[in-house]
Amino acid sequence: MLRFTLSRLLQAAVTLWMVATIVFFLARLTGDPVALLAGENATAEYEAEMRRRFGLDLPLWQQYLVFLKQLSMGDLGTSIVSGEPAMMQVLERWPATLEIAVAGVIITLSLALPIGVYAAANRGSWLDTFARAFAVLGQAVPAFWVGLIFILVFAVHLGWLPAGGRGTIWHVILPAITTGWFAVAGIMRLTRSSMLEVLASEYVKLARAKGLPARTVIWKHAFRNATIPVITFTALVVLAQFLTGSIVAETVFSYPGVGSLVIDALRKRDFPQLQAAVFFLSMLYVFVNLGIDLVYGFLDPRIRS
Amino acid sequence: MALSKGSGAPRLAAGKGHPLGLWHQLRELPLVPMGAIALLLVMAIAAPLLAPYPPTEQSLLDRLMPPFWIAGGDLLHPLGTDHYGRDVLSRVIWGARVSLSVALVAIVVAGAIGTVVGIIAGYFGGFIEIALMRVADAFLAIPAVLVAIMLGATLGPSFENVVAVIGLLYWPRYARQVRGETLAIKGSDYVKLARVAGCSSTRILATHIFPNLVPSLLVLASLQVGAAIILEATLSFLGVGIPPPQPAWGVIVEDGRGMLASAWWISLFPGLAIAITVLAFNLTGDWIRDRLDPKLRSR
Amino acid sequence: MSSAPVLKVEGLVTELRSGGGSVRAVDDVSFEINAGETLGLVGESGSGKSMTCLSILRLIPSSVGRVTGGRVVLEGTDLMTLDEAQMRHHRGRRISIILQDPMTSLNPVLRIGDQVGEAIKLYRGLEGPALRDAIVDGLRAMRIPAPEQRVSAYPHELSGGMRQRVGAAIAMAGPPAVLIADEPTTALDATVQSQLLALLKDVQRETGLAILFVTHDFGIVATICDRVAVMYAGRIVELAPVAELFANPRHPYTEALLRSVPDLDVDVERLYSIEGQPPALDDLPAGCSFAPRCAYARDVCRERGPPRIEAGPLHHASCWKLAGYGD
Repeated sequence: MLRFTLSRLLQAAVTLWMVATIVFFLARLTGDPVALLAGENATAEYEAEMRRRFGLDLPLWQQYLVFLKQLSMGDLGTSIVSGEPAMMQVLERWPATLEIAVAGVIITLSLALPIGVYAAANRGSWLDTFARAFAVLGQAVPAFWVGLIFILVFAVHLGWLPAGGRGTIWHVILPAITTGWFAVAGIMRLTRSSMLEVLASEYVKLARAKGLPARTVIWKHAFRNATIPVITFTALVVLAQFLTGSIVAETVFSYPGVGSLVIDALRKRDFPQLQAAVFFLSMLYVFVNLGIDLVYGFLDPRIRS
Repeated sequence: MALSKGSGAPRLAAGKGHPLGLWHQLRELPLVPMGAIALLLVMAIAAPLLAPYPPTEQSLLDRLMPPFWIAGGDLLHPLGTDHYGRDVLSRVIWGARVSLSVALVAIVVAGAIGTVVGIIAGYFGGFIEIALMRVADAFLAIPAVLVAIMLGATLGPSFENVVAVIGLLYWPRYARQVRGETLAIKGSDYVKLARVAGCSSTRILATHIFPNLVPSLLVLASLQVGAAIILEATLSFLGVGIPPPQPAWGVIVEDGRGMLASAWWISLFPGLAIAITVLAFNLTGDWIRDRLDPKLRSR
Repeated sequence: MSSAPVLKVEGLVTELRSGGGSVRAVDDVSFEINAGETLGLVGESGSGKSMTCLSILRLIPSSVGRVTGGRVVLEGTDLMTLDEAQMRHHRGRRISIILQDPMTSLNPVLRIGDQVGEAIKLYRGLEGPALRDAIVDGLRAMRIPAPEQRVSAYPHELSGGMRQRVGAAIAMAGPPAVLIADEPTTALDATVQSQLLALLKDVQRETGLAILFVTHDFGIVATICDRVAVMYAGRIVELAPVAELFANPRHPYTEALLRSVPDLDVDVERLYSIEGQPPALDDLPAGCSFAPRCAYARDVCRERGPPRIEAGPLHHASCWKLAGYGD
């Protein structure tokens, strides 16, 4: 277990280093941020001054080493636009992203699990047909468009929910559903198939033969077993969809989280800020990935070797 | 008498059943999704003939016209126009060309990289295999959308870059699968025989190994087309994919975003086009997978 | 003897969905079992033994098929006329089942005590310490060592034999009038198997339990059963007291089965001495299902279903040969 943990830690560190390196070189590949920032009629002295200030006058490999050194101390540079430490902006906006991710997981699970269970328990019913159709359709429709349709229906036409911005709990709902869009379809499908498998098992047959009510058979005997694979999948989905999917949802709903910060910085060509936000999200991604790997290894001894 | 009748009957039925069997197979084809794909391909190829207007032609007199069935709409612009007076239907038709070509080319790129890497790793083994697979693993562990955004941000939005981004993100899956299968085929008797017979590695790879990889490559590719279209649309929507004013579906949706309340049709139709396209490819992909590779069925 | 049989099955028919149509997995099955008696149900795989058990308990999933005819009278009540809630009241409480594979028939995420206890609680309404005592007593009655500790164990912590005893404890929680044992010893090794059979016999002696024992092992039939029913392609082709059946088999299928079992310990499952395969249910021959494999078959056998012939006291078989081929 220790060996396994160490090797996974090392892998995570290597991945982070790769991300950092990609982020750095990509940012430097894109032309000259100073020219963009200083404007067209800036003096050469002013540009040189800016270059010195951001360390852009050093050779590339030195810039890279400085970058890595600063990165290891949590310093991801200074935002060119605001002049503040880039990491500060990220940390300020992080609660908003977390908010949506948590709400998204809650909404996703409270929709996907019960529907998946009932669809399996009542195979062939209209709810089952609906669930299966939804799962197929859900994976075909892009989240950004779903978000816009939500705005059109629930904000513009019905006026039930705000179309964007942050503030109340009502502001969270639509971005959260948009973030979890793919996940609902996937988890519903998995819950259904997992339940169908468990419902056909011998111990569920025995539970029925005991004369237990259908409710007890489904929730006490079948559901607990069916959720084991679902939980692991959910963890993966949280990872892939909610952290990076937040970019889409936050952009569509103008929600001031780390995701929309990425797009803001991108549009303003504020590369230190973009680097910081992307690196922060990547770090989360890699850490959650690591956490899931470790939990798997703990649960299933076969994975460790 | 009775005996011969009893034993002869099933064979007779089987013989008679042949055309029936063919009909059965035809009926099992996902005709609706396949028809949709055919239609989309026609749209993509014949866009200049089918589209009533050039996709970027502006007409300031016809700005923000609604679809024809709504008051103020006109059959000249069946799906309405956007804020530059560009015809939405024409842009959606041209969008099929952009989105399909990005997805298909990207899948081919990913498949090519992945196949080459996978075959090399699987066939030669040893240090090369370990190194290549580690790289593939590392690519899988990197948050895909973020890297795509960084790439799009730095290289600037363009057709080539979207293809490169999707290709780079998708190749490890091909590499892993191809490696596994190459290992299996390499161990088979006919490859051993070919080697004993003095065939060169290149010849073995080309004539014995690669043809056997084709079915599963097709399966994987068909399952990934839908995801690639969604990724391209998302990147274009975020401004790091196909650059405006090119009519990629994601770009058109983004165009209409600011006028959602007043001119919803601009964003609605390209989104529907994405949904129908992805649905068609996913359903067909599922069918191909079930047909060619039942092992993959329980993913 | 005025006592009516505890379980009486009459003309039971179960149809399973198959492609577009349906097949009869259980076809006009009738038998009865008295208190304290064990009826063996013997046949090859796919002959409809398990389907008969599930049909009696009305546990065939509607997606698989349904019982389309016949009566199952348990202690004077026809189970087929009950609604689902009433049926549930009988399941486990008056008629219970032990399933074949102890490795899969217990819920892996629930403790043993919970799985036995939920049955006892449901049938006897016990709670708290009284329930706990009843669970321990139930396990002890099935000769499970150190039952106080086993209560908090999970299934994977027990051996196959122990798990099957837990299964027996659950089945006896009612305590029921009828126990269906669906090949409960097939997955166990010989020693454990004979221990479990001895246990069931003892329990039967103490409680007057009626047992329907499904098996394909004639050794077990000889050990535990009083009477035997032989199933083929969904039908009971012969039914007789054990000694009578072994000494005087009348149906050609039974005869062939017994002839191919020189040693009673050999599984019927691995029967190569009868030529041919058991027929697929969706492709049953007209007439007698066994006719294509039967050495005595004549034209009439392939054309019409065989009549049921009384071959002696408590002994009947369905065969044209016994009826003189209808002449």
